[in-house]
Amino acid sequence: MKIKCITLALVTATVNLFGGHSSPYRCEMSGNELEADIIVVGGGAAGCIVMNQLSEKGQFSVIGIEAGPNLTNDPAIQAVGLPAFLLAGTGKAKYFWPGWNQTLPMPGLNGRTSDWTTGMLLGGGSSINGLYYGRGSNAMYSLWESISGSSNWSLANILATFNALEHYQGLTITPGARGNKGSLSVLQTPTISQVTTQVLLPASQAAFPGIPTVLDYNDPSVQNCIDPRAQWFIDPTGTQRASSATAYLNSTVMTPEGQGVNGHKLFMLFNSVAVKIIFDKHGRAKKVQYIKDGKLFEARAKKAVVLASGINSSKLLQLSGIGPSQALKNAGIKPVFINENVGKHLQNHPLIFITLVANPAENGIPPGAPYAFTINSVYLPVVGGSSSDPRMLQILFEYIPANALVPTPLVAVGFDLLNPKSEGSVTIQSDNPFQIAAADDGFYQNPVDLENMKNAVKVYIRDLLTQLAIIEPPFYLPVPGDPIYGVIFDGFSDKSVEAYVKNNSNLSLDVHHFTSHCKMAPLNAGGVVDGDTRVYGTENVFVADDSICPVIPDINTAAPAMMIGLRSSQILKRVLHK
Amino acid sequence: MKNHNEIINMKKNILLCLGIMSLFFFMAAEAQAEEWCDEDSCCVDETTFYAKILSGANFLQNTAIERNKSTYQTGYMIAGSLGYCWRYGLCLEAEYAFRRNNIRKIHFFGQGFSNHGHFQTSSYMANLLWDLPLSSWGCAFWNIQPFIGAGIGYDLQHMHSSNSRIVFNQKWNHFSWQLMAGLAYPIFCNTEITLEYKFHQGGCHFFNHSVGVGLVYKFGFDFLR
Repeated sequence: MKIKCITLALVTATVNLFGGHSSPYRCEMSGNELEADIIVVGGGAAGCIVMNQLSEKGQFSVIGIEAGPNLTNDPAIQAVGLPAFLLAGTGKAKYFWPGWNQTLPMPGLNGRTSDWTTGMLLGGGSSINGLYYGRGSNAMYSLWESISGSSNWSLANILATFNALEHYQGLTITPGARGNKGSLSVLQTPTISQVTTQVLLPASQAAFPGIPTVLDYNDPSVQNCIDPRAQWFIDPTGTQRASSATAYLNSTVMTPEGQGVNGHKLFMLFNSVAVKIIFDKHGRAKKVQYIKDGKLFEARAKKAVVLASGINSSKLLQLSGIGPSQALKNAGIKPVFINENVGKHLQNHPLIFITLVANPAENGIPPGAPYAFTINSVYLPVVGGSSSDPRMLQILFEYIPANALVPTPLVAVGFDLLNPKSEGSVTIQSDNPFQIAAADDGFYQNPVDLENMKNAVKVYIRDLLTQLAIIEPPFYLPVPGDPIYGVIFDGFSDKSVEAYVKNNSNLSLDVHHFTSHCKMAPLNAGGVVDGDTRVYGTENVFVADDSICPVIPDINTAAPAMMIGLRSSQILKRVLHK
Repeated sequence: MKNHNEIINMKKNILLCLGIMSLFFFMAAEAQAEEWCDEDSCCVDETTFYAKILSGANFLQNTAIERNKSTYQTGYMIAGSLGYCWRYGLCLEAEYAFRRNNIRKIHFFGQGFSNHGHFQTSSYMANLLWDLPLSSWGCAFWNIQPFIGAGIGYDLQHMHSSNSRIVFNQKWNHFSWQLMAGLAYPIFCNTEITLEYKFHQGGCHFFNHSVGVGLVYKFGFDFLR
């Protein structure tokens, strides 16, 4: 018995010694204030990565302020496949930010508004999005260095960061071009569905004859392309969502309650809404005010405040006194630094859906990959351009099996403008942090965008529908009542196409690809942050999310947000160690 | 209600300590006064330098600092002082005192509570003391010399506590003041034992009640003049 006890004690001691266990990190507190080296506001697609990277190996203590809960283990969040809760109206309002419901009426949409619901939970949009993984093209990222004015954001640095991010499982074109040692699982659909093979792929190839069909639309050498194998934010087993929360704030990094483990000096505050940054007279951020359970708290930042709040980053800057003079004046907020660019230059992708009737005799689900509802992807240049030109249009084909609500299987064809020139804005209306900001996407305010989208309908969509119609009639025609019929019957006239574009963009589903409202650029070129992501007019406030994009990524924006989170962390480690 | 009861308990403890220590002190004083301080001995007031050490119990009242509320266990106080006495019983001294109380319970604003930790204070004080001239008032009592005093100074305070989520550390530096009263009894010609009570306030939050026994050594005392 004694020998057993001694053996057990030795084994336990050995496990504790070498097993990497550590007690959860406890946050420092002084007076009424929690304090840490760095406060990161927002645990979304970028924020989770920033929190992980800055707190690792105990190099900085980090307080993470997240407005939502940690729902990483919620089965609805873990589930893969067509997300039933993409809209707050589906009864999952608890996952979404309240208050951001509608934009201002937009002239480009004939006075309609747009739904701006965004994720309010750990992982942010990466915990509730449609799981489609896309890096964006070299042509687009090669602009980042010149617009930001910093080699921090050179194409080589950006591609290296994507590689560091990814654990990619799929086909490749260029050896070494994709990462396989990162924390984020990226899973390529391993098979091609019958509907794709027999209908969508041949129709796409016929409609877009100069566009190559490729094995990997995320390969840096690929610009415009057709790719029947979508890539997904899904774990290697194909059964669970991979978000920035599951990849970077999982149980090896923190407890479910948010205390760092294994050397991470991280302390998460869930269900806490940051409402203001407090500055000293030198423009140095000292504290962040946040509200939890209806009470106002303050947390002290000894070194820096990093905003990774997505659409709320520019709002929080304005509430803290950094923003346009008139907006601050109207809200009664004492200016810390007047910058007319804060909240401006916002970009988003306008999206239109056409719904087709699929053939029930054909299976649209790729064998062995029930999660893969996007069954074909197409990237196209401006009409008349070549396959190596910058991307202008994305077309995603999404298969919706027959179900209780939909008796016939459908294919939703979503096409969105990838390179908009139009700019929207986010402007606070008062100093009340819970009042919705006056915001809009600015869709089609630049005539070039409207012209590009009209041309896309007149040429690309017309050609695609033409090819689909001749393969298996009467299938793969638009469903009766689809607005595209008005355009078809009118012979794709300019007037009917313009009306169609304005009336149908962001009608059935809104795109939540808000970027660039805290643009990374020189101050006199519309910038809010510099190449180190530091906010102009401050010593130690940084922004690390999609809001700093010099130009909007020409693809879904979750992966670019993660790249920004990781790249910003690398920059911040260097800047803050100086 | 709970705080009120704790204050009452603390007051009872103070009175009990005072009672026990006073009884002990008077018994010792009576016995030793006969042995050492008869009419031919040396116990006469004299201007002189002196050194004193003092040790005893410290009772720290409950605190409510902004939104963190704390209660404390009975702690200890240890002090040392150097002083000079003039005629008429006036003495001026420089004092260093260290007080420490373990925390009974502390509520951290928004982060739960803890039953662990401590609060400690280092005080640097200048005190003015006055030996009450009982003999000139005709009420001398066994060579027991009562005294009163007051002081001002500076406190360096530190509170530390923790629970499973946070580590609480806070330092304060405050001006402080104190009032004191006590009894001194000569046990040798150059040595006195004292029983003292001090009320000490550091900053606007911390109120200490200290009861202790001290030992005073008078330098250059003239034996058997």
